[in-house]
Amino acid sequence: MSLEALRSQSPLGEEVPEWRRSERDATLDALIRDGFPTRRDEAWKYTRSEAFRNFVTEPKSKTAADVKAIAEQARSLIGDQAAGLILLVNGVYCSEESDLPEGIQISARDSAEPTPLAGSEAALARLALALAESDLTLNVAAEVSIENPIHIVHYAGPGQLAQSLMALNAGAGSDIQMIEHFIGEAADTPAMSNVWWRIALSEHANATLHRHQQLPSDALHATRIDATLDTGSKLIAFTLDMGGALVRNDLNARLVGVGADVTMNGLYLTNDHQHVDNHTRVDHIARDTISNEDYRGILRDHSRAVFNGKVVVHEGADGTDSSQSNPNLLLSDNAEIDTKPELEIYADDVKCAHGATVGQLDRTALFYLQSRGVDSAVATQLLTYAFCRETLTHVGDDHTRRLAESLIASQIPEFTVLDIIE
Amino acid sequence: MSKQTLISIKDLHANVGDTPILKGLTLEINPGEVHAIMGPNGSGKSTLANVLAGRDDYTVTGGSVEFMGENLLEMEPEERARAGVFLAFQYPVEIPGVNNTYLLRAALNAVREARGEEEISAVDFMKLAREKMKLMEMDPGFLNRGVNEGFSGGEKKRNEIFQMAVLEPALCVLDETDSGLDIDALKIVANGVNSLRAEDRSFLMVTHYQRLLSYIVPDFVHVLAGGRIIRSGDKDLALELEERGYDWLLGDAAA
Repeated sequence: MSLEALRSQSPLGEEVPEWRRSERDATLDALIRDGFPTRRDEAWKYTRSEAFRNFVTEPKSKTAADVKAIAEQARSLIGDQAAGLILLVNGVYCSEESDLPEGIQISARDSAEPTPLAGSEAALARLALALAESDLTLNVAAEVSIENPIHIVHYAGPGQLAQSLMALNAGAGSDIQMIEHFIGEAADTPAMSNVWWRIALSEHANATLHRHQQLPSDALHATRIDATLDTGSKLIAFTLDMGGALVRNDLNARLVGVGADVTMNGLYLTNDHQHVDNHTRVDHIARDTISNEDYRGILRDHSRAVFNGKVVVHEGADGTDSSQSNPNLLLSDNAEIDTKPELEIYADDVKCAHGATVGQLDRTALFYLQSRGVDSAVATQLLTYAFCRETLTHVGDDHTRRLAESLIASQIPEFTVLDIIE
Repeated sequence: MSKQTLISIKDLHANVGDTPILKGLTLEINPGEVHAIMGPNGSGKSTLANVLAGRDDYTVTGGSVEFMGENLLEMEPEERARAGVFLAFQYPVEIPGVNNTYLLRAALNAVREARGEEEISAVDFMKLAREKMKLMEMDPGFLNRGVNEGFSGGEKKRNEIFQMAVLEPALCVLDETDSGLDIDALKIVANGVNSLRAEDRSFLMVTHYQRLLSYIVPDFVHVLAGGRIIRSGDKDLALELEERGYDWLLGDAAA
């Protein structure tokens, strides 16, 4: 079916302001004109967009979701140390099931996105901008500091296209932690989730965004984050992909203020025929900016992963300090990783390090553990877990990290030693 | 084999890949004895140490090794460790993400289980670990780091002996534990080893230099060359080797 059919899917009601209506129409026009990316688009060389395209052009029947039950599931997921909950069911914001701490407000946008999305590579973000059911902006007042994480739970039901537009505006000197969960329900018809985030950190703001993707194994999942970091601000993004048949994450950070600092870590644990693609880009625009990136993966069976890490050090961004690494463990002859660092440097006095590796578990380390009496099976689990856990060093507080750690441990078959590792 | 022999190695042959390294090595060690293995580079010293610990980079192609009456060569590396074989690595491995304390406690409990003892409590374990760390003059902060993570060469070697002190094995195999140590670290390591000497514990020390043997005085010194022991003697043999090198012995072996 053609993309033209999307025009009939608009979720906009009568009371929608004019700017929003024209933004939606212009975005749809552009999407229909440019279409979805093909393998000729460099950023989509290893990942086919057809499954996403086909999903949106052949909409499944809408089924009513049991919001109360999903809310309950969400609450059990986030535990008791939560500062708040934002629940989105099939892309729809459930305000009655959500709560937020003082100092944080949710609003809808009051003007169109300032920068137009360009080209077919932006198809998924355009799709969200045109047709997302929800449009949430989290406003954190200046100097507000929230100790516990705010949880954002995205539920994508069978056959549903769950789309949300998310934004964070973090005021000067504020400090916030967010954990985003992507969940669904295994059924005969797959779900698709698609989220576009815009994050703006004001001077000296600190924000942490952990993303735990545990969708059913047949789901499609796409996210894009565009972050802008002002002077002295700090963003930590951690992306954990465990579920989904096809996953595409785009994470872009622009370091526009002096001393801005971004950490981008990610972990993909794939099996069967899963395909997980992480594209990241850091633009060092101001002086003395820092980026640290550690994406790693463990690939089993016939699964495939893609990592593309682009770092651009712009003219004048002297004193840039950037590191990037992408180690991978291939635990099957049929698994495949395509990894590519891209460095463009137009400034002097710059420190940039990058490296990607593909290998198996370190046999010497395995032997070392065995020679101390540790079972070879347990030694394998320990090394696997330790490899994953490296991505969590310095990313979030103990509670947030532990939540991710227990998810990782749950992915390692028969792994039981978590409690005594600390 | 006499009843009290701890380990009996007979006509041992081993390869690395297709290259034969050990070519008929025979050695018996009784409880309480300290044996030193010396020899030129490439003579097979480290191969012997690693074969005993069960490293699978080496293939045993002939001969036998009996340890406390059991066929050691049929055991997995972890089974050997639990039976009481400990290899102090020449190059201890850094394992970020696996905590030192965790590994040591898991190792101790595995050994204790094999001995038919109960698991050690967390409190008793920490007490034991602190006591042994003091012996090795190590900073207790090491316990909270990843295994050997960010340790200097000397700290890694000390950590090996520290682990040995906690696990109390029957056979301690030291693979060039003295290499890369300055004199102060060497004394600490030697002191640790000496404190572990006991009637029911034996040592097999692989070393290049006589220096270590001034601090840990062996009962027997063997010269390994071309994959076989070509000369055995007491500690004086080491002094003679220091003075004369290996050539006079190699000449003998050739003739």
